[in-house]
Amino acid sequence: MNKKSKTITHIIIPMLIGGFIYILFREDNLLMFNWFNSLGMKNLIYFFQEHTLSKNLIPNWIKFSLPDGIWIYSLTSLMLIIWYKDSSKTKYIWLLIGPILGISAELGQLINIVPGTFDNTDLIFCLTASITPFIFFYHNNNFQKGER
Amino acid sequence: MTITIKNILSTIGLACFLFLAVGSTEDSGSNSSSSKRSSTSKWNCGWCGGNISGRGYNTIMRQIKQPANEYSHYCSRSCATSFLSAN
Repeated sequence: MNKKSKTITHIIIPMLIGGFIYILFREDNLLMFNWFNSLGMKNLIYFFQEHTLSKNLIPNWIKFSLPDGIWIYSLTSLMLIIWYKDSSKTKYIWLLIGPILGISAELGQLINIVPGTFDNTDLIFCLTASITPFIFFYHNNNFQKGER
Repeated sequence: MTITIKNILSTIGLACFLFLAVGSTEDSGSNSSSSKRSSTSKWNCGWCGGNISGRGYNTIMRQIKQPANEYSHYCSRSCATSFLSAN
């Protein structure tokens, strides 16, 4: 799998899924809806929201926890793609920045220094999403070595 | 740290992701009455007494649901079950 395919599979598609979860199933008090309104996309957003499943039918873990996990997964994947085959120590800072930001934000909610409510499911998604890209990319690299 | 193309790309990538993260936060100026999961305010548990700051439970047509904060009346599923069996 080349960099372009990796970017589409591990960054763009997950981010589109996460974006649609926010647009379709979250309440409109989020900052992004103000941005959409400013861009004149209000009617388009309402159209999408009206033609999808009711928000109440979607489990909370999909609405609230999955997007957090997708954010960490995509950011870590991006760093893995950029820093692939690099031998510098700097790469470790970049590779860990997604998991560190995601997990610390969640733990910050637990001790009330970050706005929001701490949730165990969110933390599980954050941890899983931090580890999964490394497993995928390690497995993929080993598979490619085996093909040679 | 040497400035390389990889560092620049990583910084741009991180900035884009942080931008998305900011967009997914609640608008502090919003007066929407819609459900807010991230609210840190406490809710009264009703039947069982006490308060809860996260999501609680509600009963609709004798089914226990986990709704957003505003509609929560019970702290736990067992509390909602206890309410249903008592009524």
